[in-house]
Amino acid sequence: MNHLSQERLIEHHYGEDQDSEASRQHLSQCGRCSQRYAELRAVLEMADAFQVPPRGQEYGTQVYERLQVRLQESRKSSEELRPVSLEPGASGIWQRLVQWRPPRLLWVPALALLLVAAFLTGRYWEAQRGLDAQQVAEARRGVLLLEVGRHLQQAGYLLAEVGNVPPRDGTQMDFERRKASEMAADGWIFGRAAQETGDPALVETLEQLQRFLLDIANGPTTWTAQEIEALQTRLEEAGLPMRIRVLEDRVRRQQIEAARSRARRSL
Amino acid sequence: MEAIDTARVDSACGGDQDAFRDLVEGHSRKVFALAYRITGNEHDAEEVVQETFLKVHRKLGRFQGRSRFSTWLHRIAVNCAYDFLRRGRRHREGRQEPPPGAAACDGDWTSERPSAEQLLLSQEVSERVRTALSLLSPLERAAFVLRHFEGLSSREIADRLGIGQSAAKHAVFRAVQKLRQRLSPYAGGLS
Repeated sequence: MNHLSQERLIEHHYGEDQDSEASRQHLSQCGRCSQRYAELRAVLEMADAFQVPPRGQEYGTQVYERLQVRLQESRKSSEELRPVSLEPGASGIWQRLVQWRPPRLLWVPALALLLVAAFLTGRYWEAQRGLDAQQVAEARRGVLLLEVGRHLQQAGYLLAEVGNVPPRDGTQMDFERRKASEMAADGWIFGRAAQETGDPALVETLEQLQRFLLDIANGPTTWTAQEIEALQTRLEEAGLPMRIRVLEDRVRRQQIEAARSRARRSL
Repeated sequence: MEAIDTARVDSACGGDQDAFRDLVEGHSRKVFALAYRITGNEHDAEEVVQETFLKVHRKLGRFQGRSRFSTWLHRIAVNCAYDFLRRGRRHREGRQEPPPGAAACDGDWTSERPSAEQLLLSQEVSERVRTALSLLSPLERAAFVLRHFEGLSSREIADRLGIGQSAAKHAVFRAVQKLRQRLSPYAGGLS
């Protein structure tokens, strides 16, 4: 018996199931699917409880009045448009200090320092505890797999997001840039750690992902339609989303295997 | 209602401010509900409402009446809210609690008053849902709100967000997956 996929259950719930009758019949006969469907419906019914703060009858009038102010301001500013000049004294040292942002490259040595500190602490801890080398290696691998799995999942979501951005001029990419920047900081560490695992596919995919993340993170705030299309084409040509999905599945399987192996050893 | 809206658009295009005021007053609450669900924050939702009507004011002359005014307005509101999220302004300030007794302003209002306990429970659930929604990406969140709360089909979502139908389906799917991860531990406790 083929069980109904999660996508199919969601489509069925929202009335977009291509073969709704077959699904209904299956749900009436299959305990597992009907239970999954009931769980899904419970979550979606819970979402119905999301409340919108009430707005009174006079709300429309308030919106219109605020709008009038904005419309008048925009009329005024278009009339009085002139070049902006810096106020005298605006370049004071305090202002410059407040506005200072560390150069991106400073993050790299900072992270390297953290990595070395973690390594030395680990060595010290191992020596103190007298742990078996294989146990330590397995524990490290377990943590790495867990973190890489999370990283890949997040990357999959982000690439899906970028791959689906409508190519329009003036598209704001703040969300994607911020996310890519956060992930690139983690990705650099995972890349180094993955090299120790001796898994070339993992290393290669993480490197490729890292290049995309840095491109997005260092890209402009506002993208043109052409830039978006170029990035989406590159993503498609590299087949990165698919590679990530495959790798994510593999990492998940390895996580389960590693956990089983640890459980066997502890028995 | 649509005929009245079309007449108001014609008058507003001719410079009739009262007609424009009627359009704003007639649709503000619905736009606010949509904006709030997408942004998850009252202040941001108010900003989206303003941006939406500013855009409507600017583009009114381009409305050709081929679709309904409410559909045209809805499209603009979705775009404003989605762009707002993508500009990353949702983390700008602390989240505001809805006032006690808050109820969906565009939902059906029944005469039955909930008990204090039910009210507290529904507020707690609402807060959990809001937190779970805030963890979605802008695309997932917008697609889910359009699917779940606005009842739009995948094709309509794709049209509103300017993406392919399969991308719209996947965005809803990913959103539901994430919500399940976050909410299923509590979903069983609902009655």
